Amino acid sequence: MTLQQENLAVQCRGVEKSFGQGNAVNHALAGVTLDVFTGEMLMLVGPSGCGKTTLLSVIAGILNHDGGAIHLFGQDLLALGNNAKARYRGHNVGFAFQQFNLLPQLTAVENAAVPLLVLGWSRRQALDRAGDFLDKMGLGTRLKSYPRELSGGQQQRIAFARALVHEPRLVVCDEPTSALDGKTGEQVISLLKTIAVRPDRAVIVVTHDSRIFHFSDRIAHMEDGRIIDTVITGTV
Amino acid sequence: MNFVALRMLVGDRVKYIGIIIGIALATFLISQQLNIFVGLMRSTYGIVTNISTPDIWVTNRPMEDVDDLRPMSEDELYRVKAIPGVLWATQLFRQAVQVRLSDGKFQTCLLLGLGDQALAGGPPKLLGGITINALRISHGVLVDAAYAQDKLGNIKPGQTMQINGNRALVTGLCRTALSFQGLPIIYTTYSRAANWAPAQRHQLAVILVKARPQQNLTVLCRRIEQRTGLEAYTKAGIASKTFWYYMKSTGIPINFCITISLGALVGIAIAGQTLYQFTHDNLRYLGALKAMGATDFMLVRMVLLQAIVTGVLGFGIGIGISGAANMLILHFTPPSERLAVFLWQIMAVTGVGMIFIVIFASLFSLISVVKLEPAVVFK
Repeated sequence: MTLQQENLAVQCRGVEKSFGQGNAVNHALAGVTLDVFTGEMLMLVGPSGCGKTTLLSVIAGILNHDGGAIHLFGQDLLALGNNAKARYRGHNVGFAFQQFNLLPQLTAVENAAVPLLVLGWSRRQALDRAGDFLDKMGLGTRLKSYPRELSGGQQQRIAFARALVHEPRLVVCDEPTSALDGKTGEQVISLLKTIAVRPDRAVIVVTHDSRIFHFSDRIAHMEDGRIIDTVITGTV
Repeated sequence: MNFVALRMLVGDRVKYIGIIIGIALATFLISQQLNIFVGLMRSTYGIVTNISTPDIWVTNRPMEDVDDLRPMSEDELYRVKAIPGVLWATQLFRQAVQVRLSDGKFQTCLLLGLGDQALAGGPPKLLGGITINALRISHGVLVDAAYAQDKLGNIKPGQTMQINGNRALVTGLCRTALSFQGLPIIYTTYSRAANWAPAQRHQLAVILVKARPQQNLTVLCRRIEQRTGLEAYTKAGIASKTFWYYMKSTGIPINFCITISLGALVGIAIAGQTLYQFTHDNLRYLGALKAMGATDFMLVRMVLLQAIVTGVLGFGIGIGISGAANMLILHFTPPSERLAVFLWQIMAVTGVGMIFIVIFASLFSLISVVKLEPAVVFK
């Protein structure tokens, strides 16, 4: 596959984001320029505090940037109001979090069905679809289990199912393996690579975990709020 | 998303039960105090309820409340009778008297004397199949059944007592509304009452008037006042005047208001604090929902649904406890002291109050949800 303009999922140009004011100001993003393409799994790596998670947040549209431009599948997210942006995220972005953020009061299948419920699917249809998805991810026997009854690896697989069940065009994952042991981390990221990466979808993974770098197609190194280089590691 | 909201709520049992208990406690306190307050205030104009039939009450000036009557000259009766629009008018005697019971004990009672001829204005309900003509029996009196049992030595028809040294024969029992002063009510004829009670310059406490058919009562009241210089009220009017006299001139409403406000405060404090804590504990998950595309409106609806469900359950439990408490009160209180009522109107008022409490209690939760940055999920 070659990097084509029509495959462009995310386009960042000189993106800036600061926190605090006056002397306490922290420039979390200091002019980030980055393209992410469909069909690739991009890993954002770098030391703690370099701005990886902030960049992931502004790309996913859950944090507004202060300067520069971001286009997600051609859409300028800053041009959308809060509710329109929420709906855009609901249709186009899937999230997987470091601490999974599974609702403890919901079963595995109910957790996986949440994005569909947000989009207004009926409960029955959403649960059926989520059940099928979990089945594909090898959790067909644990549909009715609550998160507390599952291992970390199983919880992360449910989180991935929740990130993918509504067929988003962009999947963002923040440190998806940091709460898992090495072996389990490799298993879940391998599963993510198999299921999530498709020609019409981009996957961005923020990670510190060098053991999973080889699953990436490209690695973008960040330092002090900037991308200092990108390395092609896969077959992109 | 309603399903998710309810599962989140029920899943956190401690807080779920805590919110319900807060609202149930507030509902119980508010409805119970309102029950007692309404019962007490209704008793202030109990005598108006206990005099049936007439449309208009005519009293001497000035009259603050129905227990503060200044007797007037008998001549006033004839002046009132002569006014156009009056179908008939009759006297009502009203005075507190000492009654000596068969066991030698004394009890202060309220003696009501009805106009001898028509005996109009008798008790609202006569018991045992008797008619008001039971008063025509020599020395005859009617007494309230509950008071007869509790305060008049369980006196029965056929038995006697002494009113100011005069022999009175109980010729029947009736049922009356409780009076604010808690005095047993004894009905007899006007002339008998006037003879039995300690002498006064004037005996006529109230002129009871029946208006002609189609006669506007308010117009007739104004006409009576203009032509006699007395005060005239419809039945509802004199009850209302008495009610507002007690509302303005006594500490009763303030005291109940304080207790009811405390009930509301308890509800807001417990339910609000627990609901806020519940929302705060779930902010991470609500943030995740926001990131996944849930709009502010969806999340506000979820929080409101949680508040409403706990509100409805808490209200139901609180009203249930209030009803049970009322049944206990009825069981253990003598009939003549059963002031508390249990009205659907009070339930409705409490329900409306609880809606405001629940909305107020959920305000802080709603604000924190609306202000929530979805980026919190990556922190």
